[in-house]
Amino acid sequence: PFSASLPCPPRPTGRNAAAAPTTPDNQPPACCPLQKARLNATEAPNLTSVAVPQTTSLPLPACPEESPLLVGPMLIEFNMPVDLELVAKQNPNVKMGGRYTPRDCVSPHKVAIIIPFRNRQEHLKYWLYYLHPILQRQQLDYGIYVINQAGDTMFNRAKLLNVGFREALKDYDYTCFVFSDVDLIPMNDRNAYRCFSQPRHISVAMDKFGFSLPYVQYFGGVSALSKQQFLTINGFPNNYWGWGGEDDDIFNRLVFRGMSISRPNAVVGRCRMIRHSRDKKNEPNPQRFDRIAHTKETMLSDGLNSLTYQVLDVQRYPLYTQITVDIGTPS
Amino acid sequence: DSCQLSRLIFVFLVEMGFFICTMFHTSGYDTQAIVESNGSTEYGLFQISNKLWCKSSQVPQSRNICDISCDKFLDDDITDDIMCAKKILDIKGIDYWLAHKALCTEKLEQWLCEKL
Repeated sequence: PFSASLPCPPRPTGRNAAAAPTTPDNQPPACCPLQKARLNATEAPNLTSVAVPQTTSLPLPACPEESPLLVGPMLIEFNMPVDLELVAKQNPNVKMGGRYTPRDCVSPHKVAIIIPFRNRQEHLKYWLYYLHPILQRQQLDYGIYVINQAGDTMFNRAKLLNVGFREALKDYDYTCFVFSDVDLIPMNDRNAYRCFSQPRHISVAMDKFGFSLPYVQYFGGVSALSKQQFLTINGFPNNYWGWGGEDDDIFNRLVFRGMSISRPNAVVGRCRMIRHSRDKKNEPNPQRFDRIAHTKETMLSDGLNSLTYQVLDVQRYPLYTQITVDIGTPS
Repeated sequence: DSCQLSRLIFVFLVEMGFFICTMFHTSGYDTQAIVESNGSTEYGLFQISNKLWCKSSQVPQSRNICDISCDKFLDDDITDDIMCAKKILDIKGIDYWLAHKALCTEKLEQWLCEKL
């Protein structure tokens, strides 16, 4: 006599759900046993019009292995202005600080996306405009972290990424880290922005390189390392100031720790780069080749275990968290 | 015989792969690449330095071994770049290009065109 619309008191959902009472075949109950017992008594309110608040009464299933929301190839252009207020409205499920968790399923991918940054606000607007819808379609549990280098000494991409790793973990138990340049946009949402069993190279076919890999050891642009993979290589080097070499150093680190690079195919891996001239204070680093040749030794003492920095400011914007950091100068 | 010849050609191809790799990592194939650091400047596809190899106003005391003005290495005609690079190779050796030891010691086949 008890219909399926019998309301149950709200139960915590998702990861925090305590052991829920289940029927023998492990299906969640249509109604809580307690409520059922109480209604055995005389009082029998009219319950048929009450809807079960679905999101609070049943534990969420795991998200499917491949998201059913993907569309494949997309048109990416940089010729229209972007208004971030509008983008926030277009992505109402993205929470303050650039956080999103799928509502209908539990994602195994807890991803912090780390973007090294200085004076590239226009590029960041395009990045947020294109990536938030993609990341939501990929059903990731993600957060966006823009790591802004304070001051105007030489840019140090890898050290900023190290900072991003440390700082993101203060917010949430991320298990996967995507490191993305601010000016790279994927052209196909089947290119997963999450971690794999081996370190993942995501920007494998950039328009800048004729939609192919410039060389097989290339690991720059956009990549993803699990927390464990990142820790195994002592994170990234802190001593590459200026342009170039740090991605080759990271590649070396992975190889020396017995890992290999996992990649999507060149069709799925197509990416567009927002064209720009060389930034000031990011000139080619003349020491890069010498440093790359010595990764094996330097990785032991240059990385997470030697990382020092000072956070100057943390701003939570609707679409991202910006952490402004003083990372010092070349020693 | 044909085996000897094909071995020679193979060595030649590997060397070519090696040079193309070095050029990519040195200048990104940019014939107009110009990079200054520590009081000297490197020009063009092969990033030839004005400290020793070509003439520029920045380093008036340069030996100018290639006997040419450095900005000739910034146009699309790379014949003069190649001739000077050959001189550098003869006199100084491949170590002039630091990229080679760092990034061009293995997997050199990837730099050869399949169409060859």
